[in-house]
Amino acid sequence: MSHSLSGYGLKQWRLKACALVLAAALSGCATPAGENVDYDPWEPMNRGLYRASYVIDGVLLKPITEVYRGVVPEQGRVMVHNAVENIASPITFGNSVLQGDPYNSFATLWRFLINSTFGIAGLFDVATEIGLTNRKTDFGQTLALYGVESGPYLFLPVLGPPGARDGLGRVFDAFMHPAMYVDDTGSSVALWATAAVDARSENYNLINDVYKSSLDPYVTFRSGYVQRRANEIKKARADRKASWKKAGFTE
Amino acid sequence: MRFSALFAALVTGALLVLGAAAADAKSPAEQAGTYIEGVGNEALKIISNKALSKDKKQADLEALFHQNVDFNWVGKFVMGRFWRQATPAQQKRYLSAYRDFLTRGYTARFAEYTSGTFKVTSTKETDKGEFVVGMEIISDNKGEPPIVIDYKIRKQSGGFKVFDIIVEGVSLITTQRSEFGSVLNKNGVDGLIEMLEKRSTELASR
Repeated sequence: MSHSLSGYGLKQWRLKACALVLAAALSGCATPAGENVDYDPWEPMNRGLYRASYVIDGVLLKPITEVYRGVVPEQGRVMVHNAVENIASPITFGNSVLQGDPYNSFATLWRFLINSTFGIAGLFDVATEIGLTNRKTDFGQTLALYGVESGPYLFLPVLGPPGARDGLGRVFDAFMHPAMYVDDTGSSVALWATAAVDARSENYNLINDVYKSSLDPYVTFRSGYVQRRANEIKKARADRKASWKKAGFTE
Repeated sequence: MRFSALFAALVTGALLVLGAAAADAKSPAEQAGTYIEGVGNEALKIISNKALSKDKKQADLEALFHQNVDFNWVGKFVMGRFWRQATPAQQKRYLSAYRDFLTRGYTARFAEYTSGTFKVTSTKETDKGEFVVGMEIISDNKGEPPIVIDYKIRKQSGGFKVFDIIVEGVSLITTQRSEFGSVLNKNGVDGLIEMLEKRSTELASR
């Protein structure tokens, strides 16, 4: 796989895109949202995007995922999931460094090295089997650890429900993903598509469950997402603290 | 003969007293942990029993759920401020509809499993008579991280009752309060009750 950086023009476009999203997100972040699961000032727009997403999912992602789940046995799907997670390791590594979490940075680096080699390009999660686990993290969490509020809830079509802060985080994370630096467009698209189908498949039962049991799935996804993120960030904070001890530094 | 029977009775009696004393010696938080462990084992016994039909499994799980969940409190909580706006007749009909809705929706998920392993990882008293019991459900697939569930329970005259189930940081009652709030705003109390009744029937006929 080629990891060389793309041309200058593309890089500049990326910078511009970042600046735009940053400006949009920061204006949203100024609103104190706290952890109110029902804070949703953009609800009409979000509901529109949610409905569009529901339709796209129904005609495209869900059928593909169902074929995938029907054709590929569980063991195979686990291997695909391992590979998708392994390739995305730079996101967790970069953010662990930014978060100042030495244990998670090193654990992620070693996991990547071990799984890419002994785990045959990441298909087998050898690292977990030998007891080397890490905490998956992202730029939204990094921002949260630096004190950025979650901002208004934002539903992105197909990508799902991050808030304003986490939406911005995803854009930054995408730049840490190797697929962004693959010169061949076809391979790049294939990598993203695999990741999308894998994510849909991983959440297949959860999503079905919400559709079946919830009286208002849009609200259930929102409330659940906001709570889960708050929990992840709480955990990230505790982990970072513990990390310095694990790495041999005592205050 | 008489002597040995008497001796046996004495020993049994002494053991019972000791056992009761040991149970009393447990701290309230430990009792809470033991309670959740008991309910978990009961549920596991039902889902792993191959002799039971799917319908019977579902019925047994529902009965277990009924015994251990504080429906009245949870039902009121998830309705939020709308509870006081409802008439006594609406409240009564709502609580009955809610009980069915929650039971069906929740137990249907478990009826699909046939095995599982869990362990109680922590118990703590968060408030007077209120406890959080942490549990991990361990997947049969190696390498998959365990599912972390916190049970919030409360001691009442009839023993412990569960009033919230938090899966990976997502609280059942908080999520449902968001969901019901949205429906109540749009459709009112009667609208919510009708939706609950309709959904329970759908879930039951699956």
